[in-house]
Amino acid sequence: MTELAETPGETVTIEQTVRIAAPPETVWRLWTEPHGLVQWWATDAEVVAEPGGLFRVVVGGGPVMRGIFLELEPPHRLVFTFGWESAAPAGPLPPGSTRVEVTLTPDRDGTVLVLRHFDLPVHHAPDHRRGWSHFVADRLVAAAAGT
Amino acid sequence: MTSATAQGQDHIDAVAHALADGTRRGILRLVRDGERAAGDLAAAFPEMSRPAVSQHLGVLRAAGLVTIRPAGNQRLYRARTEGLAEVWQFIDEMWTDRLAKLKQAAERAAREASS
Repeated sequence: MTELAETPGETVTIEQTVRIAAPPETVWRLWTEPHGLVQWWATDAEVVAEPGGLFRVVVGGGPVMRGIFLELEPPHRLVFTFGWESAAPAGPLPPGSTRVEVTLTPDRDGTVLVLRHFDLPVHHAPDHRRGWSHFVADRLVAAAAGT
Repeated sequence: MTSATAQGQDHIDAVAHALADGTRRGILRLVRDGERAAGDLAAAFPEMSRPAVSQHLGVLRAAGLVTIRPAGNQRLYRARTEGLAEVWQFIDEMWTDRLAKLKQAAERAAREASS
């Protein structure tokens, strides 16, 4: 399930919730170990699972995600910056420009995962399309220009 | 990787390229709230030649960020906000697809651990 919430500064947050029939420890390893990441996201991954550590996910044929771990509370909470490396000029979500929080909450013998992708700098959903925001015109786009 | 994803990436690249230029961002501001004729837009950038402005308009159009409507001998430009919405839709779908795969991988690992 996906929900969108408007936040100040004309950014949006994507929130998704999924229930997983596996303990949080198992899900945690899939996020924070390269051989776990290649099972669901990456074709190759570099992970330095500590605050300030590199988090780089190569997706075959698609964008390369590059972030920095901000917070790690195994096996319950993970926060990292999220952006895309891209051919010049840098993509519209350059590394450091957005933030992802993943929480893993035990639920009987499983896990409820909530993912929030913050700071997406555009009105996003169809009913938000009016917002051709100054934020986009100025900040996101300046970032895309590599400034 | 599906072709839809590849198209999404191509589009993201096109949008990024289109937005990574001050003149093009300026044009988008001018056409955000209504139609403007190509001549008006060129006049708003007196330091640039008209062909140069035309070229910028072409880049914006190729990225799906503006639409063009002929009216008499004029061409009227307007922002196409869906062009950006598609980019963010891509991110949304990316998480949906990825988290479905994560769920599968975690549940497979849990089954293997308990068997």
